[in-house]
Amino acid sequence: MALQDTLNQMLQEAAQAVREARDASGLDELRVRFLGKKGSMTQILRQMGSLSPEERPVMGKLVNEKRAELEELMEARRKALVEFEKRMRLASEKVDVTLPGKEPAVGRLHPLTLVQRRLEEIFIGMGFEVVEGPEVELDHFNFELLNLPKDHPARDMQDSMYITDNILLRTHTSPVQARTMLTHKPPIRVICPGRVYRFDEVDATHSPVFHQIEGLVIDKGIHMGHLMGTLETFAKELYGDGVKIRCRPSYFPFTEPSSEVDISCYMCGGHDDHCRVCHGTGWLEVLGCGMVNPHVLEMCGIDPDVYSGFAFGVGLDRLTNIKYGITDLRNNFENDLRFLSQV
Amino acid sequence: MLAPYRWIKAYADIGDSAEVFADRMVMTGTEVEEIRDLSDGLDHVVVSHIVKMTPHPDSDHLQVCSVDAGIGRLLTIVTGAPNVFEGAWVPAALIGAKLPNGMEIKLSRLRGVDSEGMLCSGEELGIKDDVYPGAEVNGLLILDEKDPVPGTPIADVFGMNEKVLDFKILANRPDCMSILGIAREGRAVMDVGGKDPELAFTTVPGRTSDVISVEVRDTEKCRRYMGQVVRNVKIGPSPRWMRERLIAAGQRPINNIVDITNYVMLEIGQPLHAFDLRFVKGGRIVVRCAEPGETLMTLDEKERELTDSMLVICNEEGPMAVAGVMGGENSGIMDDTVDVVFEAATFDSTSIRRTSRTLGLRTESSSRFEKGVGVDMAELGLRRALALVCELGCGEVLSDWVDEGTSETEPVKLHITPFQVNRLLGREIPVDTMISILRRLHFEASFDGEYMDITAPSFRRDIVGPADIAEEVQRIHGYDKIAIEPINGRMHRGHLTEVQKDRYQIKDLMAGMGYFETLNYSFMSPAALDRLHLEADSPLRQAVRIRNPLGEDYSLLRTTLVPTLLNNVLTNQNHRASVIRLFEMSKVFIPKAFPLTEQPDERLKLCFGILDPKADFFEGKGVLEALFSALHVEGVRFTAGGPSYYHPGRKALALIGDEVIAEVGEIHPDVADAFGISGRVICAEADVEKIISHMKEDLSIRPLPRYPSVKLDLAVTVDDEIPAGAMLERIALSGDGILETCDVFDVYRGAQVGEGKKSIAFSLEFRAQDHTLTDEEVNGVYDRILADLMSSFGAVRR
Repeated sequence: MALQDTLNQMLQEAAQAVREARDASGLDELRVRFLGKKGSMTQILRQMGSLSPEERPVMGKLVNEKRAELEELMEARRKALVEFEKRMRLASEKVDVTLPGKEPAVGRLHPLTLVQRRLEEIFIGMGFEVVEGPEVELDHFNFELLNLPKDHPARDMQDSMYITDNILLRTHTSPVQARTMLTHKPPIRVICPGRVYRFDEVDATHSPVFHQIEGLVIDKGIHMGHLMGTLETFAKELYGDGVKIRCRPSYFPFTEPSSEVDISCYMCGGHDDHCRVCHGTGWLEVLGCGMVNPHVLEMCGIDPDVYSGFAFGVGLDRLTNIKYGITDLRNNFENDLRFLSQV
Repeated sequence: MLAPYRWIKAYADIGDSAEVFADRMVMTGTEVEEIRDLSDGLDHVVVSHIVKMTPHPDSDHLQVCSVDAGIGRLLTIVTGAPNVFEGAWVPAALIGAKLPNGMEIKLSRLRGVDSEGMLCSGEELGIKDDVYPGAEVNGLLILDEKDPVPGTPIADVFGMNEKVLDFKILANRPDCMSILGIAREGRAVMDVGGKDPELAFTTVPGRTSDVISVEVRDTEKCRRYMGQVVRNVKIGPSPRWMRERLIAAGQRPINNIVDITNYVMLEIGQPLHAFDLRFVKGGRIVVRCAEPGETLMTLDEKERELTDSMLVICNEEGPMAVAGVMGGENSGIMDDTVDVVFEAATFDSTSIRRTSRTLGLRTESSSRFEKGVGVDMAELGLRRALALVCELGCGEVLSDWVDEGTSETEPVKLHITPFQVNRLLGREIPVDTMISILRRLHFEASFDGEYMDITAPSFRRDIVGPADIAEEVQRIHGYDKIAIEPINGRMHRGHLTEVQKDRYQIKDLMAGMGYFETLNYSFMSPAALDRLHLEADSPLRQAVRIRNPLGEDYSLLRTTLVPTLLNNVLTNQNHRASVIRLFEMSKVFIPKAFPLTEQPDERLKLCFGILDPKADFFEGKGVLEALFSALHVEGVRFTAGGPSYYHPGRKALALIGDEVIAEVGEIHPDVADAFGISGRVICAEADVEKIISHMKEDLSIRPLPRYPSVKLDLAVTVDDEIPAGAMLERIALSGDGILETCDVFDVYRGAQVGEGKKSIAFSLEFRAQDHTLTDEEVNGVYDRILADLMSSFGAVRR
């Protein structure tokens, strides 16, 4: 049984070598050495000729078993080595996760755009459509149709920038009201956001360019209760259910009765004398409104005995400044990235 | 408008609290901007008597005074005032006082002597001679011995124990531009009574009409002119109470006659003027428009050039006053004036406004006339002035006046139903409540079971119809009583239009691609157009010009967003930003023709700019391509070209058909220099409406391909100036329906391809929708593409 001993010895030797193999290529060498064409196993098989015919099948079977055994051993070792190498690689690939990430560049929308969209959403939710009009406007729409004939004292309230005698930069978004009434039959339920212009020198609280959102509702049976209901819903959507509105009589040539509407301070509720939002007054003066003046309805082709309606105007820049705590109106137009990147 | 509270209270029983009154006024529609307490800084400052005075033991200029300040014991107060003397009555600031100049009075030791307060000068109390004669002397304010009781608050002595309300009178309520107007409104809103100003006066023999005549030549601009002669006036200071009220209301006292005119204007709301009769040459007053070339030196000592649209008050020789605006130097009240003509007139508001604007001269008088003064006010004002002349005993009133023009006013009468009012208000207000509120507001009102008959008071020219009555009734009833209701009626679908949504999407895409949104004024400086190095005939120079701009930099409306964007880039570069990506979506204004007779076209533009060392032309172009792709704008082609402010070799137009929808390029280095920017700026400007109009509307999604594609590369050498875009278009035409995509993946110039040549490599992907392509099919198309490139562009295969 010398051959069998040789086989066993070879196998032991091989098993030992496989166990000691350190990498895949070492393992490949062992495969050649023990199982290759000129390998130990082949040499043992060559010696089978010296065996008796009875011994040969026994030995052949044994050799095949041992060969399979060895292959299994090698495969197991190979898997272990791969696994080991993978673990080593993973361990070596560890990174410092507190290093900064690679941000894709993301820009931002302007704070005024964000607030305008928020307001539009709120009013769209209440069934309003969004309409627009020209910024360079005719005196006829900006003033005449809004009950502000030439030399009306209230024209002083809004110093205008003129292009010609009859063309000017609109001083408010209200001309869009007139344009809408002239082109649409009631019921009308629209808001008109946009840029407006006044002859105001630039400082922390004045800007020759600013933004308003005008609202207009015309239908049969519209009254002040609807106006206040709409504005209260708006205020609660914007600042939360806790806020209240307060109305003070006021004067606008294109509405009668007219009102200024204050919203209770969403920040302090009027309980903080040093509140950064309301400065201790407890109220934010944010909009003017009223029932559309019957004369305006008439001029715009709507019968004031059949229809009534309300209009309101919100200062978008002011709402934006309140929301973000901006104290200098000029920031909104300076376009400093250090400012723009904060929203 | 400044209204001293006690002055208002003289004519309305509105109680003692200025704050309560102000609050009620605000909530009924009369804005109060501020309540000023005139005694601020005078707390703990009292009348005191220097009972005894001894020199300070350790000083040669300080005096130690024993002072009776009415507190039950004498105080020791040290003073260094040069004019101090024993027995003097002086203001003493006691410990705890905080003076108007900020000084806080504490117990202090002056060279070893404790001083329990400070004796004050007029300056330390912020008081001038016109408030208290002698207040401006160097040293202590020596009080008149008639005034004092020791311990009396000094504010009482100065008439400064007073609160002044600063009202902002709305344009529809000129009737509130006076103390009486506020008092009248106050009576109504507080539902109280009050007495009216004293109007009675006594006369002496002699008739005004024998002394002067009045001729009104322009009855449009002057609806009424009243003149009254007062003889033997004694010019001097007006009494303390009148001076105090004038000062509190912001008017400087001058002399009794001038003060009376100002006092009446403030109290009644009727501006008055007083002429010295000596200067009413010929005894003739003519009210007419100025003649060309006439001038007048006004009381502010400025020579005014008059125009023929300005109304002037003339004597027989020429102008004495600019009507309703300001009197002339040549005819005013002087120290030796003996006889006076009071003028009380009604001038047209528009005329006064224009005159005041043209002269750049706004006065208390003109601002009242501008807002409208009723013709019935003239007589009221004149009567009040004459009553004051008698009260002050400063002149003799002749027995009649001259009164030209109309005194009639047509009252506003309404015949309306309560429903016409309530339909605007919502929750119904009972008719008897309406009637009683209107009567409180000085309306005549009655109800016959169906209609209300309402007559507005003459001073309420703003009342026109039921809507005005609705406001009057509701504001007194309380705006807080308006009952909130949801709008009922039919369903409304609120939504944005498709175009509005598309604009939002474009902004969102820009932000998503790393750009920050900017907003700029719509203005543009002419200098900015020069900085853009535009040709003289560039259409961008055809900008709308503002007639009254806020300065040259803001004088044009933008025809392009590029200059403001470049300014924004510079701003940020100045703040050391090294990577800048900005965009703006705003309107530009393109005139249709000059001179402008109609509104310009307003076109919405998108402009973006990049300052980044890593960026080049192709990032700008790539952003446009990404926009077009995301917005499903198809068929866009880029060709070299664009405005002159771009680099001549790095600018392109994006076209659909022949229509330019965008421009993109690297800003010309000269232009960047002119704007002060260092580095290369990539910029693009696109027409938002055009882009949106080309957006594919009905999107459908194709099924995924079922058959494999074949990918092949093709590299050719061509002349350097052959544009890749042209080759791509050619390749697409040769694709024979199976070329799915074609891209450039490499461009190479260098020795290997030879001078003036470039190698350009395309990757082609072929696919058929209905079968797997065979090599023969693909090779056939591939060969044809190559052949077309060779014949069209002289390409040589590499």
